[in-house]
Amino acid sequence: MMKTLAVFYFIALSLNVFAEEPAPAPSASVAPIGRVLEGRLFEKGTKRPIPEANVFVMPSKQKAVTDSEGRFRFESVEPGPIQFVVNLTGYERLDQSDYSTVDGSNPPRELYLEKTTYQVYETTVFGKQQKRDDSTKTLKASQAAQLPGANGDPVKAVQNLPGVSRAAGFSSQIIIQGSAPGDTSYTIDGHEVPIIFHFGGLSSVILPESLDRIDYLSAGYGPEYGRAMGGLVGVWTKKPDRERLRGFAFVDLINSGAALETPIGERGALQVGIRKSYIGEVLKLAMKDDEDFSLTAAPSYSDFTLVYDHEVSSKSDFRLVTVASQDTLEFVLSEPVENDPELRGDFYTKTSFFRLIPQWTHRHGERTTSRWSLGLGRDWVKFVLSDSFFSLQTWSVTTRLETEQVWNDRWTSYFGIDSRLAWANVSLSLPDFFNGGGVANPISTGENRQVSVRASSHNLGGYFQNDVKIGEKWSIRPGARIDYFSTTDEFLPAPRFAARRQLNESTSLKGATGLYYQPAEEQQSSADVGNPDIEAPRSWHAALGVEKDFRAGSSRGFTLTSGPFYRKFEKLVVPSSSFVTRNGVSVPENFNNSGYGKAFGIESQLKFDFAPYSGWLSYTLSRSVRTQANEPEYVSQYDQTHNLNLIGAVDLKRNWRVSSRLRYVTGNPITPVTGSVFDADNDAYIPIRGAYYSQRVNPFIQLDVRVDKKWIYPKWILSAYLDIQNLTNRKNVEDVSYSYNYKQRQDVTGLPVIPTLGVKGEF
Amino acid sequence: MKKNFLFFGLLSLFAGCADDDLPKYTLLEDQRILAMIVDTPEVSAGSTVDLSVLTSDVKGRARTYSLEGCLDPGVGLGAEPTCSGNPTRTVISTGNISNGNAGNDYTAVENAITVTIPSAGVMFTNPLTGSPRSSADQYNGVAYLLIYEMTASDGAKERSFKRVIVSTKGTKNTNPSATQMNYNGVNVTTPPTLVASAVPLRMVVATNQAESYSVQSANGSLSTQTEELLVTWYVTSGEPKRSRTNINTDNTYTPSDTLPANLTIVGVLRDDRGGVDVRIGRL
Repeated sequence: MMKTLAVFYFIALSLNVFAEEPAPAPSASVAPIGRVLEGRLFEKGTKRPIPEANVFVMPSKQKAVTDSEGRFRFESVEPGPIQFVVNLTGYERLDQSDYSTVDGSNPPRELYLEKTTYQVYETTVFGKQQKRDDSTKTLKASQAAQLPGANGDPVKAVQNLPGVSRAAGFSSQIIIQGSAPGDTSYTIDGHEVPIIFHFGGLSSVILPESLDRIDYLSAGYGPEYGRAMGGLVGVWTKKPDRERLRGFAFVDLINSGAALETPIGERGALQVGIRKSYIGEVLKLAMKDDEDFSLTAAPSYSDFTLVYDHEVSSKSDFRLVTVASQDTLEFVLSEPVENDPELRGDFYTKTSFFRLIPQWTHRHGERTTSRWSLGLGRDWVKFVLSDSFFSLQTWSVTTRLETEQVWNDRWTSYFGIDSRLAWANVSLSLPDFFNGGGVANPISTGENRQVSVRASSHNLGGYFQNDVKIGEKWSIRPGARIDYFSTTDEFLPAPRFAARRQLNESTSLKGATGLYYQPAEEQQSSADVGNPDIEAPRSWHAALGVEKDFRAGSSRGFTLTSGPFYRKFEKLVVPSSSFVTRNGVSVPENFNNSGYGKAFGIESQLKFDFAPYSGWLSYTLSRSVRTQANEPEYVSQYDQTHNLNLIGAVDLKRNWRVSSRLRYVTGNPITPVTGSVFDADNDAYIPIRGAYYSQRVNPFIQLDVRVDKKWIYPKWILSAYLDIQNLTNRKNVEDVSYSYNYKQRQDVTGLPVIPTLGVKGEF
Repeated sequence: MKKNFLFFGLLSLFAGCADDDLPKYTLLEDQRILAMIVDTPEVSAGSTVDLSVLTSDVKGRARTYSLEGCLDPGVGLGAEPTCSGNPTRTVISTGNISNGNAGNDYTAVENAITVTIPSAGVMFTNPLTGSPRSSADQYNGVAYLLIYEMTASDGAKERSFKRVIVSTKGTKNTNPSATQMNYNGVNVTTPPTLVASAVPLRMVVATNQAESYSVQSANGSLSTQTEELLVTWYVTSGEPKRSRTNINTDNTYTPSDTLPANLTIVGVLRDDRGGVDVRIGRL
């Protein structure tokens, strides 16, 4: 046994510590007149101690090995010029001149080793981090933030994944495999949040540096989540550093922020971060001469993140996450919109929320682990448009309880509860806002609704999942979920199943299927402005895939993931202008469940890594259609036949990196307007729609480029990036606008070339 | 969700870029229906009203019209404004448009057409569901839709509709009445001189023209609201700075580079309940 350990120890040290070591000193002799020389070895920039590294001092060729704190010590070094030499895999060779004093003892030295590269470009992990679900793709936050076109926001980077449709304009909404944006659920540490982006896409609501990873769950995702027909984007907070005080501050053209991370005691650590935008100030300056548009409160957003992590015992961990976010915008429009005179006067909107998420993980033994977490929160949404307004205040409690039971090395089970209870105060006075085929009627022509109610909704969910390995090649994941939605008073069982077959060392096949429900939105099931008889919309998913690793054991080469998906949508909630009889009187139906549809396609991602070059090509070929009562089938608003993202990066010397993204997306479908009728009471024209989504705007093509540079100082790192979106200044058509009577139309193009410069300092 | 649509629509003002080459709302350069006026915008079931229509076609084409009526299919909820397929549809009148001529830039109020509103049995029963409207709906008013279609000699069509509100309410809405319309501070009824510089336009309206009225909620409680009066401006050349203004507020009119021989200025005063008054100035 001792012999085996000795061999192992020798091999381990040989791989790392003794690599490229200078010729050992024939005799690490102790000079009779030598002095003690000691110090610490750190990683340059991060000041992280480097353990188990060989430090040589020349010319005496003495060697010392650093301890866990990076400390080294030479007992006797002759006075005079000396040279420190450290040669460690993954770091630049250190060759540093010094001088050993003749008198007294030498002062402690601090040596800093610079990493070979601070730019790692390995971003997408498929089914590795989240082994429970092959339908999950995971982005590492630290690296996704460096993708071109995302302005340093890792959540935005999800848009580069296959199966994610491109949202129009500046929006970053995640549209999954032909579903609607509202079918995507967003979570922080597993708990639902009302928004994940400030103003729909400017930036995510949580500091990128607080994130560990972003999970993207698409067709066939497992039973531990529900209430989302499309899929889920889950962001997970990072464990704060327990080793040392760290911090950073950044500034770019639209916002700035800072965070501190510190150990608390031996077992705890805290991270606190804050961010504030000033994009509104820029807009204010741009519009100060416009007397018809007065920006009284510039659009601004801010957010706050706190993560406290504590190892309670060897069996228990505690974490507390707090996220708060606020978006505000206020302006006065003196000149009404030409075909919508109601659109004038004071505009004010404020969206804010906070979540307090305590989490407890307890390992009962080697085979049983429980995870409990709560999401305590409040949401505020206020919107004022002249005399019209909408106000919503919601208290919510989300609960996740899960026990993982490892029965044996081939069978693991998960039992869990996933619930959301909410209490809301809603008051509104708004015109009925009809939007058919993506063409909205002027709000001036809508019937005014006034409501002031207190409402509650209770969505209770329970699930059970098994992860079973059968033989050496098969693994299956049978599971089920049952949900209760109080707004529609339905119990909804949802079976789910996934399987994987390992064909050989580099190739595997996978498949998943399941039933998915989501509660109707509050206004859709409201007795006042909706339809109390509405049912929960639902979707059936099926997905197949193949994963092939062409690297043959090397770290260089290609990996491919590809496969078809299919979704069938039923009982979709659609607006209705019909009347129904309820309680003996004729009332507006407002909404019904007459919507149906399907989405299908094939998505592929080819990753390549030929250091220093790396990147991926993702491509989705898909079709998404919908139908409503008495209407022929039409393509969905979010149908994009081709969606291609080509991302490439090269890591250059001196910590430079250049990356680029090229996107090609089929033009979005639009509904033609064939005429109009003048509403003489409301002084606006009502459009007459042609066949829904029967035309398309031109394809979207955009090239984004990003340049990153890091300057590594001994105790801190300065980094800067230049992110240029739409480098070629191509005028991509995002939508069309119409003349007041809809007789003429013109293209609305997207954002022009937009360079963003950011600087960040971290220690 | 509605607020999201509205909000993101507004944000698209920032995010999108479009050259504003589209026709101006205020410029009369083609066939237009500018206003539909009934002498009493809110009535009891079974009443009769007189409908007058303000039309314009500076191209001077011969035009015909047709007028039909039906119960509102739910236009305010998104239904298409048409009487086609509606069991209460009635063709009320057809004929020629006669009041337009070169002297008035073919912009004039046509002769009144008398319309008989259906009885309470028809008005307060939904023809599709066969069930009655709620008492709150009957108190606040159910709309009888008047659809006016204008066809020019070359086949070009314009359609417009107006709701006549039929209610059980005691005090009913009346049309607002403007005191006068001023061009450069002068009442247009004594035609002022057309000047080559920017001048103020103003609709002078007594403040008591904005009526207060009661609204019944679904639970039967009453609340009081007050009308908001708004003026819409049209011209046959040049450009008003704003397409709509509040009453007693100046709008700035800028003439075209070459002063026209004649200028017609139209101001349409609306309350937000279907009441209308019209002032036309010919300079």
